[in-house]
Amino acid sequence: MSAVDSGRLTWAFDDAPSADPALLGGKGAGLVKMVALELPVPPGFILGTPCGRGYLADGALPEALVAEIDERIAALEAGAGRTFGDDAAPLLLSVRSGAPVSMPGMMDTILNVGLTAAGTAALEQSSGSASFAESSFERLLHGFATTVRGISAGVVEDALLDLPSGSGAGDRCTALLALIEAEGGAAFPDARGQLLESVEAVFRSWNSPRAKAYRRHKGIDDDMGTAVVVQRMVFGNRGETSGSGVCFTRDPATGAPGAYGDILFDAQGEDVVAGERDTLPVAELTERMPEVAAGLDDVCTLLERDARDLCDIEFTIEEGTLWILQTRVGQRSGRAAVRLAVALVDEGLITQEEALARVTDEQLEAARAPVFAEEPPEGDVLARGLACSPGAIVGVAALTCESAQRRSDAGEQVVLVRPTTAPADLPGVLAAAAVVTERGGRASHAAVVARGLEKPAVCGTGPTGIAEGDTVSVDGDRGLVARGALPLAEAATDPLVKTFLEWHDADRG
Amino acid sequence: METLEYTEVGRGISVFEDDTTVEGPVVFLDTPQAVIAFVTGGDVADTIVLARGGTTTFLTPALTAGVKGVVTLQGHPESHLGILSREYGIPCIMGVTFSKGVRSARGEVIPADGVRLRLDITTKDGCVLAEPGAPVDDTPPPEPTDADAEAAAMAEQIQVLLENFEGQIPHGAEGDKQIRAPFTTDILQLTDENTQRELTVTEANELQRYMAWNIWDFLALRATEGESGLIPRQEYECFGCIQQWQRYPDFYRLILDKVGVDGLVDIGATARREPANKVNLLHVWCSGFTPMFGRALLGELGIASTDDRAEDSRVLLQFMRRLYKGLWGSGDIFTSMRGYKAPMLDQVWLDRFAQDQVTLEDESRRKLFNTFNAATEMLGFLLHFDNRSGLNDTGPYDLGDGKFMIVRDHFLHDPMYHWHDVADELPHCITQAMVFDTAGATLETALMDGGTLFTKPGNYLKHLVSASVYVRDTWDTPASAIRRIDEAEMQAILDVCDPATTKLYKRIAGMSNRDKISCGAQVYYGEFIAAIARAAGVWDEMVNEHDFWELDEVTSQAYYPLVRDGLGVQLVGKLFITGTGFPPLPDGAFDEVPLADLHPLALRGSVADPPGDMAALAESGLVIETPAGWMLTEAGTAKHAALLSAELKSLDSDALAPIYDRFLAANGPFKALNSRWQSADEDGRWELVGELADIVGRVEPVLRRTTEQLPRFGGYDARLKDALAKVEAGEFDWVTSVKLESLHTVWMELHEDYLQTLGRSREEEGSY
Repeated sequence: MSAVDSGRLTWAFDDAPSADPALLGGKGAGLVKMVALELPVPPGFILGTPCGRGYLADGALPEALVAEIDERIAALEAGAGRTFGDDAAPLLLSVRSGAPVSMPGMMDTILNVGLTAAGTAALEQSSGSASFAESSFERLLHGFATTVRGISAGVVEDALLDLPSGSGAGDRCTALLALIEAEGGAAFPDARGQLLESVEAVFRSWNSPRAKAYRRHKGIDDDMGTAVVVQRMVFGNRGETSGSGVCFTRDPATGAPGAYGDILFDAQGEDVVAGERDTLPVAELTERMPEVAAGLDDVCTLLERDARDLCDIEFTIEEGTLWILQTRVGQRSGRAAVRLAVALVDEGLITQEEALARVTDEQLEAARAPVFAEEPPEGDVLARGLACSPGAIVGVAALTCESAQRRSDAGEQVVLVRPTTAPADLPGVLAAAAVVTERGGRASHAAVVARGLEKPAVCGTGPTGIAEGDTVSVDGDRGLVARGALPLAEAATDPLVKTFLEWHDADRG
Repeated sequence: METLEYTEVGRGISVFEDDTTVEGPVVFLDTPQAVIAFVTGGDVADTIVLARGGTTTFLTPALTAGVKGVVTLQGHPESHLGILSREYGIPCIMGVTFSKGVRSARGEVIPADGVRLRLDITTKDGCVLAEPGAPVDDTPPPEPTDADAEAAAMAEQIQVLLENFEGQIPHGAEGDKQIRAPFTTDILQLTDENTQRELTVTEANELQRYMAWNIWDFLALRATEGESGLIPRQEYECFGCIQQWQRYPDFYRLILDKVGVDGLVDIGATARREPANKVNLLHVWCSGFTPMFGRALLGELGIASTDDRAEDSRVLLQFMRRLYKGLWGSGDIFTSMRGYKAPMLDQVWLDRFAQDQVTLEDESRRKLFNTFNAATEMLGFLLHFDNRSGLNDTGPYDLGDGKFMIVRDHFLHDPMYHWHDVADELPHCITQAMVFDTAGATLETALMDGGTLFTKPGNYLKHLVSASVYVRDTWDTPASAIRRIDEAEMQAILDVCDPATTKLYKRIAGMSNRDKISCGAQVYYGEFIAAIARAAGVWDEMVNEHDFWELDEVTSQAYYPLVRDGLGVQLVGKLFITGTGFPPLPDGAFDEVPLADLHPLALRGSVADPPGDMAALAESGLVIETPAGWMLTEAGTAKHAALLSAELKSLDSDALAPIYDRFLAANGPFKALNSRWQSADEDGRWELVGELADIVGRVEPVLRRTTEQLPRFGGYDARLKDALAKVEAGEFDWVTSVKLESLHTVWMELHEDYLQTLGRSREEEGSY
């Protein structure tokens, strides 16, 4: 490998020789690819796997590597107009492990590296939000204590639980700082110290018992080593022109192109995934920030053209600027897989053979299930919510678990309609063919359970007005509930599915 | 030819009998404003007033001004107005149906204003006669409608129920005997043993059965008193009863915590140790009767089942019994079991009273005493919003030779009511020791459990031979400072009493209905606990730290059906008359069901093989077996809620809240992980395993600290770790599968457990 031979130990996302996972790790290689596609990725650099192997052999970071890291940081500073370790306007970084193969036991991501107590105060000043600044610092300290200094999550939690009632994020930061010093061997370091310790922790985690056991179990080479990805932090919670979201590169249900997913303004990605707040459709972005929306659609096109497949995207908007954090080939339902495959052939992105190869037998089986042919007239729509689990069901509404069980026992196809779901509702969910909840998002218990059971679910509908015994149609792909029995179409009547089946039959024939 | 004789125009019941007949022009008063206009007008003393209802306070100014006679269309002598007209010595015939006359605005037949009436009260069967030539409205009465027929049938049915409890059991000593004949427990007897321990369900139900008869025996007739012109008493009574039921149980527990059972018995003994204290016969009776009545009212309104909160019923009933234990020492609990006699004051007081007696042979002295008795009693009623709690009698104390003493308290100023400013210059209580000599005449006395003396014949005051009068200046004046007052001070009090009465009457007449109900409910709610709480030293704590005067949410909820929709009036009457004010508790209501046995069912909906004796719980109707497993019945759900809420009270929630906050801090990341997990491929999942392990490690101390307070949280940590071990071994179903004890399954149950245990909802927390 020429790059290694040349003595280089690190690569910026935009100057790596190739997106080689063996050198850059899986994550690093992915980021390099994204940058090569000209996606707006927050800048950063990668410490290659040879560094990890070297560290484990010598037990220390080579001076040359440290010098190179300093150079890389200087380049990041120049681009960001912020200085790493500058308490007035600090440049903040994330540090994560990146082995060529994912494995348990590797160090998790450390966020907000570079923040200090003084920097937190400055951040509070500049952002105008004490909670933003303090929660950012708390997050760094929590990660640093557990994953860098190796203080067990339980001990950290105990220290936080010892705080008097009414303590806030600021008090938790003070407690964590004290704990890091008392239990972790040394005071919480400055920005550069944080970074170097984090890098060492990543390398060390390669030999964690859990990682070693996994490699032994899977027959993975112990000498493969891990890379480290260092990246500039971007924040989606810096006001109303900021936000975070997750989306597909097109509507997986209909194949319609353009970003399709959820967004939360003034929030971080975690908030979107955790589903604790009600998300908005990504389409909302077109209203609020048309330029960012156009940029996101461009990203979708670029990604699909490259992957020649449906992708999903995690993104953040920081004060009006779009940043792409992660992309991967998107999971999709069987019918979506079939329709997409045909659509991609139509668009000239893949060949008919590739299309046939992409759809598994299971997906094809699922695609044959009947669907609601068309979106019902708006007058028949009782409620719209989040499409949390795909599928089409016509059934009788049951408003309690008891009635769901009773109706199911009597041979009825049941749609369980609940305000929320608690564990006691599980027997009702099991008896039902589809689930509708008024509150909660994609991460709500109801959504997780319905997906696990492969039952259609629409969540977060708000009040539905559905009465016990009503016949309703649940469209888990479109995320809506309609009055009465919508006409179910055999999947084969869908032109795209029909085309695919013809190819399929011809192929088998 | 026209007759020149007076002719009978109506009949009713004489409140007391007297040989002199009275005559005078009649005036019909149907609003407080009409009453005020009447007393400020002309010949008050010569006029007979006619009112619709039988409540006391409406006619207050007329009684104070001294009208010639009183006639009512509705009501009964046991009503408050009956009691008061008796004290004033004003001839009164109640519940009169007129056969001739003109029509009121509502179509009732009444004599025209100005017609001279004669009241004949020589017997209980009172007769109203009218002068010759009185105007008569001959228009035929409207055709009876179906509703009228229904009302008539109802009235007939009510009559049967008024004569005998449930149409079967009579009033008085015979009724007492019959009602308790089938009882199997000795719960109506006060013993050291059965006041120290808690009640069984059978005991509670037999006690309640007796209470239903006892209140019927005392008050059923009052339920027919009709409408009030001034104060909507039945509305505020039922409103107040519900507020009592909602809040007294916890306050009773607080008092018990403070003074213990023996301390509470000792507070009950106050009624023996001193007069002029609101810890008395009436208040002790109400401490159990009225809040229990609130429970029945909520049941009738369909707001809560009477099976709910059985433990609260248990606390209320036994609290009352413990006060009675102090009041009587031992033996029968109610005066209805004691021949309607309540001589409870210690001998030292009786000796003092006997010594201080002043004879009332002198007519002016008798008149002063009678006026004083009536005026202070009147004001006591008005200050307590037409409520009996301003009055309490004890006795009769037998003095031999056909003589006996009645000791009567009239409570006036009490600082806990803001409108008592009109009585600022008046003492807290007037005590009258009255000696009667029937001189061979028959006078049956009945001292009812509500602390009121009734006599047959009604006019007992003519047997009064001597009296002595005392005051207790403030509620916290020591009993040793209760002092005798002379005639000059009686007159001085009277001089303050009358203007105070007028002032308060006018103030109340100007209040909105809601204001009246609010003040009335304040009396009902504050009255029956304040004196006990003051004695226990917790009154200030209740007011300042426990928001005593704040309305409970359920009470507020009951306001509209009770007051606006008029259900209150109907229900009070119904529950009094039909004896359904004390519905029995279900079997097993007090059974010691371990929370741990019901809790898994409440958490998970149904459990195939739960711990605990399901057969026994099924026997008690708490659980039921279904194909999906054991589930809670409605009763089981209520029982579980009661057990949880009892547990919550015993918890240190200040200590738990920050621990739960740390759980919530981990909950968001955990849920995000689940969502990521479901959309990740195998490679991605391996990466998430470490994060799952961190979360499980992170909640370990949270669970440990929760378990220190709530041992039943002890299992979660091990269950999470078991699931995690499977996940780490590559069995990925153990993350989110509902069919396994997966991380998601256990976590969801854990969160639900916190929510139920802390009494929070997902909605208020925003976590679903």
